[in-house]
Amino acid sequence: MKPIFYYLRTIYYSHRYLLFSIPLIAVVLWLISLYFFSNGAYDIIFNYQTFSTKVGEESLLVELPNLPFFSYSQVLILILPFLYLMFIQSNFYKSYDFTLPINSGKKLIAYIILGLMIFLYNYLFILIFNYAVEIYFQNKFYAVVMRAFDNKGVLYTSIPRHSIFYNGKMTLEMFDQIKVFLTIYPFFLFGCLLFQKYSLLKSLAILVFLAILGKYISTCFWPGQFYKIINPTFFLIYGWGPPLTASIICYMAFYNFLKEKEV
Amino acid sequence: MLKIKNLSYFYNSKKNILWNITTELQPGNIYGLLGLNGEGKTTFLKLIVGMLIPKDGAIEYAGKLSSERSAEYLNDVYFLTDHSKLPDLGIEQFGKLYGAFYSKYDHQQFIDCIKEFNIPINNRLRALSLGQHRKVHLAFALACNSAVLLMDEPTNGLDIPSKAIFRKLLSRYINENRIFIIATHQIRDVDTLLDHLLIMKNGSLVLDQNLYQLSIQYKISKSPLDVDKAMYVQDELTGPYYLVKNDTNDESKLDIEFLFNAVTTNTKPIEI
Repeated sequence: MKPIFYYLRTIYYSHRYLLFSIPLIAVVLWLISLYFFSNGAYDIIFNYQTFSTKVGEESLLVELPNLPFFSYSQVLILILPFLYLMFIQSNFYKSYDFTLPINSGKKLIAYIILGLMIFLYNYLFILIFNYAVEIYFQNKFYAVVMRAFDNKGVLYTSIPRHSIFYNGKMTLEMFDQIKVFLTIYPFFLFGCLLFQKYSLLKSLAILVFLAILGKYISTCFWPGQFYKIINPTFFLIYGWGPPLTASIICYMAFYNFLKEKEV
Repeated sequence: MLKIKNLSYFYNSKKNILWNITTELQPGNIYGLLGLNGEGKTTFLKLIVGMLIPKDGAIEYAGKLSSERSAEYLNDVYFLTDHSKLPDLGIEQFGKLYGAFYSKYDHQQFIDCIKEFNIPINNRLRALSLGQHRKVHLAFALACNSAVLLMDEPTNGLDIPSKAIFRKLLSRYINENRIFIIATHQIRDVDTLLDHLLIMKNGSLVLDQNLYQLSIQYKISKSPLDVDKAMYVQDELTGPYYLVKNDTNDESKLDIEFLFNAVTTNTKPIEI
């Protein structure tokens, strides 16, 4: 395990700027997304007075529970780690100008740990931001919203689970994206070794092509009869089986490539 | 011992860069690897360290094959490339971080070499000039104490005093367990250190000989009496020089540059 730790340590010390740039990029893109995709949450947070005067405070408060949580956070959680990984992608195919005594298998494990760490670090910030929004809404609006419902005679109302009032908790559920990340990650790694230049775009293009091809192939099975299948295990395998298989093949191909690639 | 057996390599299958090279390199020696530009010296070194994989043949050190690129093999064989691009770290930090990978790395030795080269130890690598980068890389390569140290143009970018320091360090750190291979065009920088000469021509080793043996067998003569016996003649400003058999069995003073010219440019192949 020591070489894996040493290897991760060399990457960390050579790219310490990521410690600051990851939260910085995350906050900037989170704010941009908040402005463009939050269905009015931006106005409520930053221009509440103007906004409530415009639409009427009572009706705004009654509508607030219907304001959805930031579902677009999934994109930030999933895509941003690849953006950060692009900054350090040369590590995947070139370790400066000297070889290091570390086996390809250990290198691969180090890359997986590195990817996971970057994913979790980015996720942590998105989670914190989204929780901050939840806390803000809970503290500022929960009681008044309940009062507004009471005033309207709508009693015993509960706020839906997908509301912005549970923005943080819903983000917590997005941790599931780690499975998708780990499924896509080997395509990215493989792309880095294979292309070196514009690897993200090229591997993304391949991924999209494979997804379309997979979708097309899937339509060839039981055409028009699919709705008759009710077995949940089938759907689990149907959804995860092909991408997971492709992913494992890609991990293996990356490992072999790492072992065989000439520098 | 580093064993190279029937080694062949090509980038393009129509043209072999290296062809059927077989040799054994013994510990305790400093080898000079010479050849004209494009003869495959760097390719040869990259093959030894495992950056390239032989198309045919094998390279083996202590029972481990270069093509397997095992951590154990890479721990034993270090390659100093012809240019040094190091990560942006403090000098000491660089040594500690990357030295940790090598089982025989000696940090004190690294610091000593850095001091010997007169580089301020507290500097960051990005603050250093190209030549200083080279010195740090050289210091690191020596401090890794790998059994086989391959150096591609190690004196590139070094100033004149540093070349002398480099020679001093090489002679200090070579021992009976280590093999140093120096590929260079600047033969005058290292000729006094070399024990053994490897000369490449047309992808093959045309000379693979101990320098002491060579100096017993051959000599360079300026005497007109040797004209008929000359295997090679080189015209200099001071007149012609001849490469002839050494009949005395005493060690002669051989000039490596002269020998290199004799082997690579002579129209008649020299049987050595």
